[in-house]
Amino acid sequence: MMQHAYLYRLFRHSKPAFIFVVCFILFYAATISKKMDMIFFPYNNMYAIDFSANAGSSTYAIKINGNPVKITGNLYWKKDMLETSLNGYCRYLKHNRKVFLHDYIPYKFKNEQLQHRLIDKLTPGEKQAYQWPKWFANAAGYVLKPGDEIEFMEYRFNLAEGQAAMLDSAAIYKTTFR
Amino acid sequence: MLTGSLHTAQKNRLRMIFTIVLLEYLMFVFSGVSFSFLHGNTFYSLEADPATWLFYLANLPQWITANQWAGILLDTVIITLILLFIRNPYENLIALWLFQLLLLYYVTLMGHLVHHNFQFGFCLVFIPFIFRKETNRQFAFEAARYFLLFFYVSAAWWKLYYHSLSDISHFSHLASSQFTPYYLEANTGVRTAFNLYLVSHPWFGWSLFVASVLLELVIAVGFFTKRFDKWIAILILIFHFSNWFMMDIAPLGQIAFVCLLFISKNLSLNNKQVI
Repeated sequence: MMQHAYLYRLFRHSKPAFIFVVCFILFYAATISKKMDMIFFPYNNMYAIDFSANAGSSTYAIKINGNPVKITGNLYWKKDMLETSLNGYCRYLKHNRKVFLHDYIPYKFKNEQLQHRLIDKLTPGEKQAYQWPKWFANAAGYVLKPGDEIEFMEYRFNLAEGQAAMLDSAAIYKTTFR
Repeated sequence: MLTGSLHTAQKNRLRMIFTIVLLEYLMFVFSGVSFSFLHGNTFYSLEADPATWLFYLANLPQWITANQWAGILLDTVIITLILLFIRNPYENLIALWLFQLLLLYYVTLMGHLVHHNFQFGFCLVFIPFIFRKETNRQFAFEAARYFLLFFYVSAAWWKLYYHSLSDISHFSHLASSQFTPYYLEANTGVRTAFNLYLVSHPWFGWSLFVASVLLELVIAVGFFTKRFDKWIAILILIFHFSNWFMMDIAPLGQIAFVCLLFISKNLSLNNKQVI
């Protein structure tokens, strides 16, 4: 039995490979125990937690000159990209132009110089991020010209009664594209 | 070592797997989210993952998305290398390059998706093939196979750990947020009708949720024997395509990696081989 075990066979085959695999397993165990999600160490708890605890949902959308930009007719990956990146951008706008790492880095690293360097490289610059709606509109098949009005909208739905009923909508940010 | 005809048969099976990888990458291209199409996308948000940070600290994703020619070049190189690899799936240097380039693509895509998509089998599928010696390749394949099995089994484990099954409405609540943009745009059809049914019939949703957890748990059989790998692959694919139908999460990017299980007997070590 023991002789058929993967780690035993790997140990007999190559000591460095055995050490690498054992380190990988230990590191994975450590990240899982801390509920950390990393690229080679996925914390796959998708759908394990019900964060909303109700049948409501919300989504974001962009309007250009009052016309909504449609995204769901695109092929899967583009639809997914347009939907999730728009959600992320709207949260960024609502959070005073800050992404998750803007908060996480100062909390985790106390050295100000290091904080500055990490934030500079790991978060989008404000000037660059300002141009993002142009990419979004182009990707969705719309042309955004200087002077166009952009409105970021939030919509809330309730699906409890067997139909998707819109509860309310709000403009979270409005600007003129330059 | 494999004999001539066995070698050719195995090569052909591998060619099929990497043809799926090619199709998956072409789906990124045709969807409009490959390197070329990320040009001008200036917004990204990363998680607390130092491995991802390394790419951004090196300025690679930012530089690629700022230079369209670099994106087009990378897409061309990736497609060409996959084609060359389909021709000879034992060219370990090509596998190594593809692994690195596709990992760079995965990191760039996740950063700009602003959302972690776990399905990066299109990178992992190359891991066994970056080894030149057959025995090393077989050991690496077994490691990748265990990783794949653990990925799905752990998903079931966390659902049990968080007592997800004890709440009848759990799945209905989760399903309620999956198709919201479709409702907003009135782009409805069979999938949205089914989604509404799931939300308004929590018992039905719960029974499907239990079935999915059982399906993920059954995959643990693979830790003890490779005899059922073909069936495990079929179960995982059923799980993924049901997920696309009910939750709008497509497995494009993960299919080739799962399909490795169909040929695991050819790629695995014989137990007596190394003892």
